[in-house]
Amino acid sequence: MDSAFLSIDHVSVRHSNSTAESLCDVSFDVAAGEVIGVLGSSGSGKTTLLRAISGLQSVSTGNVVLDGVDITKTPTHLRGIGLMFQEHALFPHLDVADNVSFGLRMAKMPKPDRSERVAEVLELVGLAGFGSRDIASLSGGERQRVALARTIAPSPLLLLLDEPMGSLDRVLRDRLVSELGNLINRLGLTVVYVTHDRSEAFELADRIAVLDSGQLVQLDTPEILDAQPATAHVAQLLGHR
Amino acid sequence: MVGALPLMDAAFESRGGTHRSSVWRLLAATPPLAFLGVFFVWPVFAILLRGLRPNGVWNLAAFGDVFSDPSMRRVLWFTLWESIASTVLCVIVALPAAAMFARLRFRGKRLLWSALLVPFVLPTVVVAVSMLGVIGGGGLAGVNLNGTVWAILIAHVFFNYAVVVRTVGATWSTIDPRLEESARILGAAPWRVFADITWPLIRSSVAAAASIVFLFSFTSFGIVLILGGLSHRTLEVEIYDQTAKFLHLDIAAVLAIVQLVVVVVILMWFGRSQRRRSVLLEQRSASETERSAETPLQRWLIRSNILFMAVLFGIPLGLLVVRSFSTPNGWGFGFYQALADTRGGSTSFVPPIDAVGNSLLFALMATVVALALGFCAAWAIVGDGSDVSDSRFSRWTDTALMIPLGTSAVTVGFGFLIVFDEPPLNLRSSLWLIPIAHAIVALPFVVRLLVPGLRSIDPRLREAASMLGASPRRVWWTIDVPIVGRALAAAAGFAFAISLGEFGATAFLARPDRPTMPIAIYRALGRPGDYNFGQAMAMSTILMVLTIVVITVIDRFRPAGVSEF
Repeated sequence: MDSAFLSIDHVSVRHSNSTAESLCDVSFDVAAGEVIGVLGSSGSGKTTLLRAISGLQSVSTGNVVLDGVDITKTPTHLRGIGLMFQEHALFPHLDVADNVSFGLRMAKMPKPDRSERVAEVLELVGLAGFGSRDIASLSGGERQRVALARTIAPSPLLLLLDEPMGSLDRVLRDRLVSELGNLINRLGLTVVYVTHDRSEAFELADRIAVLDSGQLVQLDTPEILDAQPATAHVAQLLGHR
Repeated sequence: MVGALPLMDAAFESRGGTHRSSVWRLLAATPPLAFLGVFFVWPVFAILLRGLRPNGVWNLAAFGDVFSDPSMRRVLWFTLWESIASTVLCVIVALPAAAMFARLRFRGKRLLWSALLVPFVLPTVVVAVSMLGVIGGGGLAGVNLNGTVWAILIAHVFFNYAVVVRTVGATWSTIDPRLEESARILGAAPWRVFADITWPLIRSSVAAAASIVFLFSFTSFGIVLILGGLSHRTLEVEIYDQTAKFLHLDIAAVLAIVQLVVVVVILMWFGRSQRRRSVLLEQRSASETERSAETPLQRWLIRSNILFMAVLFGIPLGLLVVRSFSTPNGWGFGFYQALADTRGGSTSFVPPIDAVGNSLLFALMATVVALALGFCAAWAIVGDGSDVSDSRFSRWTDTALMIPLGTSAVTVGFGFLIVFDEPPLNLRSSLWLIPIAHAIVALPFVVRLLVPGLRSIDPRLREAASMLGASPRRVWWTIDVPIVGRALAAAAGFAFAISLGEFGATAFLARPDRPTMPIAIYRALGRPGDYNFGQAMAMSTILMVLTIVVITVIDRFRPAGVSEF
């Protein structure tokens, strides 16, 4: 595909430590503005895939190409990718505004522009006026929103989400998933969204990639996936009996 | 030594007493507090009076004399900048190792972490002797740094490296690496990640470690006495000389007061900085935060740290052992055999080997005293865990027992000398004088090791036992004692090791015919010739082996997760 915005090309990750999850010759393309859901049980290599794309994990073989540039050897901080962890990983010594503006500060955005952008993004995630709040004082849902705001503030080329709803309860999760869907559509973001939750993947994703033991077993739209699961494992993940 | 780190856990859960148990706790706290009053507060007070009120009249003239004397001002200035330099140097070389222990997985990590304790608890005299073998005249390094400030700084780094590595490493390992990863993804270059994320989160533990290193360097005695030569003298050494050599007790008292003031100021600053650290970290267990070394940089970090430790610790200590067997007549036990005879010099009235017996006896006595008092104190601090409030009592007792940590051993020895030399309590000729001084030095550590042990007892166990008809004493004997047994063993080992190596207080108190091992080593160093230096090395080797044995035993008994030390 020439129109690919993100191209994962025969990527393998081998750990020296055998217990850690790894990737085995994974290839797929993502178009600009597309939302890819990555589904898999724990240990299937989902998180490793995100770490490889973001550069936190160096790949053993294969290439990662983003917007026409091979970024396989680019250091993480120069890749222009956003990644949001399940645990949110908010900086505990900074307040909400400083967390959100961190990426802008690293990009050397002038201060007035920064505060403007922070206010804008906080508004976007429904946390207008939260700037001076202490991280410790936030609820689980608020933390999730701050983490999202921090990730999208520097306008990353690509948004990687690692089980962003993982630590939230069901009710809150349902609400936030639909909010997140709206936000992604409005901003036209290209997203790789890792989850083990079928409903999240189905609600948000244009296409769903299923990983099993580090291998990509199927990549299709939710409808095709549901109708024709490639393996018994895929069917099981989708909740078929 | 061994970390005033305990001071850090200032936070106490509110617990405390129904009326009856309060009485018991008060009773339990009485012996340790009384001991502290008689054998610590009183001597220190006597020093204060000696300095501020010589000849029964309030008079601050002695202060004027001291501060206007250029040689005294030099001592003050040197003590100050030497300790700052030691602290800065130590933090700089130890931080990479802290990072390695916090973040990387490698073979032998656990063993190395434990082994780091060894240089830290080694007697100062042993370290000084082993340093002389490397950087002294005719040493391995080929340059004679003896008598220079470099010898002192290197020895201080030798001692305090573990303080920084273990304190900062323990904190660092609880920081979620995803914080640093998030920063990298947000565009922060590696040095920005350290400056903006890691450093703010480890800063307070670095400050904690640094203030301890500063205190240890500020009150360093054995190292400076042996390696400092005639030109480099700290307050601690000056106090000793003014007392033991020149009999200027007033000047010594003034210097001790100055030192005490600095120490108290540092401790207060330390306490405040610890209370201010309000950042709540979601702590991760260390196994979650470490990764195997994958990049060349990470592998280089491991290799260079281990090489550094091998050079810093391995060479001096290895050389000490090797040279103790290298006599003028070839390899053999010559120096060890010589420890048994008295011909070494006119000042030694007894064969040096007697010092081994003396040291073991004193250490045993000191351990018994420190353990008995420490157990009462820890029990008073913790209570039986089942009652309400009254945390103020706990905190107060706890703080009182920590004070000796910040005081120099020389001050304790000097205080003993001027107080217990005359009625009402004349202990000058008592065998107990030295063990009591050692117990004062060891008590804070004993309490610090016992308190977490006692806290770990589930109060329901006690309740269950008393439901089954056990009297309170029986509960204590059948529940508390076995469970805290491990902590007791660790505390006993620490007290024993501290007593074995104690030099500062002992230097004042040891009688010529009853030297301890560190004193015997110091005496041998004071006499000229290879033969005497050989004896010092042989005795140092024995003392080092004894200390390592004790520390190894502690490490086996150490309750899991008790903090950095």
